[in-house]
Amino acid sequence: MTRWNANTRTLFGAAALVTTVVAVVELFVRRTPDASLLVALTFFTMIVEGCVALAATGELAKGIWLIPIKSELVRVYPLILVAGLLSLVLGAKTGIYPWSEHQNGWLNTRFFVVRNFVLLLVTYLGARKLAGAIRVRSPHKNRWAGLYIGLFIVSQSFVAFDWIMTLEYPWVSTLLGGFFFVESFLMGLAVSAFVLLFRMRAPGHALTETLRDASKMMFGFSVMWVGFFFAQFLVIWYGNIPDEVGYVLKRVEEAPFAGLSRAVLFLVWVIPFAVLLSRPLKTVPPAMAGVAGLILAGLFIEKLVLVLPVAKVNPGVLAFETIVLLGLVAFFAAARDSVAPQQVAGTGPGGPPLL
Amino acid sequence: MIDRYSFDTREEFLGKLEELVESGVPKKNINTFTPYPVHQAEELLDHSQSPVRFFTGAGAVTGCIAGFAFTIYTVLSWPLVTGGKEVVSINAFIVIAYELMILFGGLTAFAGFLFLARLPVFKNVLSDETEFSRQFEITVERGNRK
Repeated sequence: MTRWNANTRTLFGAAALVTTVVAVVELFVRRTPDASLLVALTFFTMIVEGCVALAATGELAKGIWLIPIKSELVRVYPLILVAGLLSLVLGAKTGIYPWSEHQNGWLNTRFFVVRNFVLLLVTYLGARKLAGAIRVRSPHKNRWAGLYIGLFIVSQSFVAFDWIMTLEYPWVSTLLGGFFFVESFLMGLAVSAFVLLFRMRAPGHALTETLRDASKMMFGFSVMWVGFFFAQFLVIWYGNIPDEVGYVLKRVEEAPFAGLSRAVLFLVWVIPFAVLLSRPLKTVPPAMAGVAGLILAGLFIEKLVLVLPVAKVNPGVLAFETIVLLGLVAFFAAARDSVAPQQVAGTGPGGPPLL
Repeated sequence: MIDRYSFDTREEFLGKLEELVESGVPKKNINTFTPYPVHQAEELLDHSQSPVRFFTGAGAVTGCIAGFAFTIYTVLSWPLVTGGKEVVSINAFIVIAYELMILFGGLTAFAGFLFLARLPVFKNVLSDETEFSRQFEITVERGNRK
């Protein structure tokens, strides 16, 4: 199996380089306020936090199936800090928000930037503690896993409420936070399927059952996602309040978003449901790669559907930022652990956290 | 005569099971007892999928159709416009249809299980009272099984 033999310095350098490049592009090359960074950063933050949340949940629930891939999932935790640093750049792009012209006590640029940065920083510190505890098999790892899940829920809720929902201020949905952290968890599961497929290239692996379990979880969370979507949609449809309905109508009735919304439903629920219902297909790697890819693609399009009706994006910049940020996730997940196996096993003092 | 093999781990259990199958022991003579479902064991022993799923599927489809039929028939028989919505509002009826799909699917699955397992029986309920706890157990009946 091919794995990057990257040490801490290489990983740190890659993260710093990507953060700097994205910040330079946003602050100096593309000065006009557009939502390219917002879309890429939201997607990136959800994937990274979702991966660590999946590992934390596996730790709390004593999920045996996650053990073979837990280290890969939790290894991406330093990227939460990258998300925090890039959230500072969003401060220069608040022109895309309608509240930027009439700022108030909660929605003002300075507080918006500071609270999101602090929250992501605290989430990063929680994830760092969890990663360290898992690495040395600390008896307190459950405590850190519980703490991280709490931080994950708050952090994802703020991504939904602050970054996305205020794009259409004063439109309000109290369920959007829950919807986002379910989506984030689903993204973590899709990444776990990719990690498994990567690991299954090695001869003599015994990961078929793990892939089956990952597929079952993806199936369950795909259904849960559509349940959350429908719960939100039904309430807005039934209430029929003009302020609320306008938000939905723009996205499900007007072209091209109507087509994209239906595509999201097919990519995240209809196709995964149909494929994952089959028992034999759950252990076929190409089928699982396809389903995980469709889910991630669907959730990315969904972010576009949430943002594009009210804010413009530059397709080139969005594609560039999404690719480099996702590349960073892949680089971290595929990196070989720099800590010696005997330390990982808990017999030694254990390695220090990555960053 | 019955040979028994007990294991603490799934891996040891699967290893022995694979060895028995490869050594030519008829699969119908092998029984396994596990603390949780082990799909690889089912695959090794070529256990076909339970037909209970057909009962569940038929019940679920019936429930879904019944849910839509019941709600649509009701509103067409006594049309009341509520909140300016269309009389036949599929969005609202999905909830009823979904609930009935689960209810019918669950009940028919249970009924199907009882039917296929020839339950209930009121005597000789336990054919083997052995307690396996967390052990993975393989029993092999030697000789022809009738």
